[in-house]
Amino acid sequence: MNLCLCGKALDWLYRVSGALAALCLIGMTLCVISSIVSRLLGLYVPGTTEIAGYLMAAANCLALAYTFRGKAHIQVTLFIEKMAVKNQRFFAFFSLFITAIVTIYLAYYMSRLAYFSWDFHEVSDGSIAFPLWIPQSIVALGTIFFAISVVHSLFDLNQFSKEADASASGDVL
Amino acid sequence: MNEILLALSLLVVLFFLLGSGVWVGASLIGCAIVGMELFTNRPTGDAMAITIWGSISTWTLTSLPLFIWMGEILFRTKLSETLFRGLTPWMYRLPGGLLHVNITGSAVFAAISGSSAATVATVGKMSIPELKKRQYSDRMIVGTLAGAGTLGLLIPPSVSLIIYAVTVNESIAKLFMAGVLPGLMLAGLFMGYVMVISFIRKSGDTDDLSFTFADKLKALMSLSPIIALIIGVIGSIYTGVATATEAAVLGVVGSLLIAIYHKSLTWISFRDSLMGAVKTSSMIAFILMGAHFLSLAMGFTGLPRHLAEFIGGLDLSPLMLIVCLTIFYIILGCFLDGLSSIVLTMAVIEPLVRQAGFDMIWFGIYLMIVVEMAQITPPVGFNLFVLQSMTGHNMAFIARAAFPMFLLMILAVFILVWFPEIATYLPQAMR
Amino acid sequence: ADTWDMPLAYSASNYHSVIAKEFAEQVTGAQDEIEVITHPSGSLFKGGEIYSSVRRGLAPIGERLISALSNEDPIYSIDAVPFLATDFDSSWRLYQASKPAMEEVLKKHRLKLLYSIPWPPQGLYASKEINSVADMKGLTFRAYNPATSKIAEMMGAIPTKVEAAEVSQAFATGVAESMLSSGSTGYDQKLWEHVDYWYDVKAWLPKNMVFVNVRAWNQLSPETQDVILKASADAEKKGWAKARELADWYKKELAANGMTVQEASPKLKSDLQAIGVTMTNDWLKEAGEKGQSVIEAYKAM
Ligand code: NA
Ligand code: NA
Repeated sequence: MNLCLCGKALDWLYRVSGALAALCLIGMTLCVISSIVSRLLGLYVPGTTEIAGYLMAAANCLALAYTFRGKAHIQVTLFIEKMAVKNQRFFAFFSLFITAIVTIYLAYYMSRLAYFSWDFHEVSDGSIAFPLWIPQSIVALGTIFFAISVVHSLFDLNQFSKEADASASGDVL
Repeated sequence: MNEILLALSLLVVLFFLLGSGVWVGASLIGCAIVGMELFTNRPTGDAMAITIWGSISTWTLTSLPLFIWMGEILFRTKLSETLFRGLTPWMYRLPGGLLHVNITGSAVFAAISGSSAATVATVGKMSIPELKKRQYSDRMIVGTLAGAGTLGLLIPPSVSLIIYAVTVNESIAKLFMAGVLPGLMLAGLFMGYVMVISFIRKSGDTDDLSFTFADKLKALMSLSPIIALIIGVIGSIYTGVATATEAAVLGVVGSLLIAIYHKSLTWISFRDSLMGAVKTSSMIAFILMGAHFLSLAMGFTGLPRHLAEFIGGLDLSPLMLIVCLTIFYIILGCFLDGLSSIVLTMAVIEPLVRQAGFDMIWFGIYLMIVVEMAQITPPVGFNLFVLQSMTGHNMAFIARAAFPMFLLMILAVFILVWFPEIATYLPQAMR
Repeated sequence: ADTWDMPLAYSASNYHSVIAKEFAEQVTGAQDEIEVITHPSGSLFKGGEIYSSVRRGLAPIGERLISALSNEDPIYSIDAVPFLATDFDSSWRLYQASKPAMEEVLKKHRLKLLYSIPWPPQGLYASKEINSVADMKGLTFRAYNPATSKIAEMMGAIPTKVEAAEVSQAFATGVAESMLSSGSTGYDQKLWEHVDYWYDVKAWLPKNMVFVNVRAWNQLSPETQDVILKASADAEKKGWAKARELADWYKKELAANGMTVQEASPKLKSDLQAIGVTMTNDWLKEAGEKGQSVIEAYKAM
């Protein structure tokens, strides 16, 4: 009961961070548009390229968990599909377990990066001195959500694999 | 000796992780961690973080999510219908008939979408049922779609070309231009093949169709918004009026206008296109994070340098090197999607190719054709997956149907080797 | 021996990278404690990441364009203050005058300066003949940071943002009609196809610097430290000589490819000097007392 509620809350979290990612993408688009318009008007607006890059990084990372739960990250399932059901279950667990370790590692060090940038007062080297810890914290937050979503999937493995079968691997690219 | 051990152990780790179903991005990161922890004395995690940050926040990459978004918007318009109805009057008289709609439709969609599977899905949505109704052989329907779908990577905009450009530090605009003529050439090869085959084994029936010149003009008019968009995007890059990122924004705005024109822009379709773009872009970002970190780890171990020196010492002729690389990428492409095989290998291949003195723009186009093949080779081929879910045929049938296209792409590689100008002419003309 | 990876931002054939490689070989050959390996073209860490990587000890040693670090501390932009030091001799004096202040900032960031080598001087590229600053009025001028956009405004030109990778494209299409940049930019990007004039105004001489992480440095034996200091001094000497030689060479190449390469007219020179005074004062406001003493030391030399 509690577990179920917790799962619902987490799913909500992934959707919210996905929506924030979408807002970042729109922000990035507006940023590029404003740089085009200002150039046409003969104005110099510093920092648009840096900020567009930061918004892109934020969009990509905030969407990691949403994308993961939406089964849109790529994995090679070829060899596993050929195995007996029992082994399949083992590898479904194993691959999630390894991915969980990697994403926790990633989240820890991305947070450390943001922390040291804050501690060192590091700023962007472009046309504005933008404090790097701000976009880096958003990126770190995205990777933290990502790690949570992988661990979450590890805990409700049955549910997660069932959904995986339903959505055939016909994703774009 | 130490190097061979290092290379082998990293390969084993990587393929074990990939093969056991660990997500591609996580496999790359995992392999890089192992490599750095075992073979260097540098702080692994911090080095990873700073490299990943640099690679995902770079301004040059911003055109990527935008072009993906543009394709997602158009995917949700009545584009597949427009393409089919607009191209049919122009194609039905050619030997092979409406099969050419598959190819030309893919070429047109390739010019607005960065992805290959989206091209197959969009064009196939309308053309598969229509062509089946007209008794075209399933094999030719599936084969032409699978093959022509790969044009998405070569004809700009192309997600893979952006990734390649950013990885090897070449101009996105130039690479886009370099892809145009080879893309058209490949489409021409596919069309030629269809014509030849239709003399041997005629399939399909278009005898009931007839279009007047006025019909043809009307068809062309219906295509004009999309053609205007293509000319706007590619033209603005070619003339240098816009950077790749600015052209991508132009594309997003233009495709929103087309969606409004088609009356298919609703809040739902807008939201879906946005979320679709965010998802794909994030998926790519995860792989890129892994690839850049792996490339850093490789740099610390010195492996790519030594490998480049070793291969350089073999004194292979450039042609021999290309033959070896082609075989290597075809094998890799059987198991990996095109994007993963590009990012996975560039750390090692880039110094090698530079040392051999290849033009990096030309090599990018060569690489696109070679990894395009990966989209249609079993067991892992994304175009095959898409067609499998669209037609219900099994993988073996689809792969067999696509095989002639695979051979034509190998032919295209050799034409590109003999006439490198096909790729290098336009980028040189633009400066 | 311990491996010292040395990330470099510029391509292997660039003279900064060539000299760094010779430096690495000299150090490696003269002792057994460390082996220095250069990684050019940003193949290890990219240009923008090198400073913070060495600071964090991710690489023990690295190289960076000093003025790219302007946002870290105003002292790093002193060699990019326009028309303050406009030839190699005065640039060397400015370097010596600013060295103590720079080393202080580096020390705060747990880094130690080894050597610094200039780029060829910045000239004025323009699509038409420029005899005085008044001729710049209305021309689009490539800006890539607040300082360059300020220069554009003071000249009456229109600042337009162009990234380094897009310079050639911008000139080809008239997005940019003028800029201040080294002769090497014009040569590398074949700008003679789009721009006709290059004025040798020597606006400033940007420098690269090579620095080590202090913790990595302190772990070395005094003998090895001496070897590195000796190699650094040699590299610096070679680098300054090479930059002088190349400055002339680039000028010749630009001219040989059809550009009009000229000294600035006396009127243009004095106009630009006036802009330089304003820009120096702006810099002083930002850099405060520390900056004041650097400028005084420079003027006294
Ligand atoms: Na495309
Ligand atoms: Na394949």
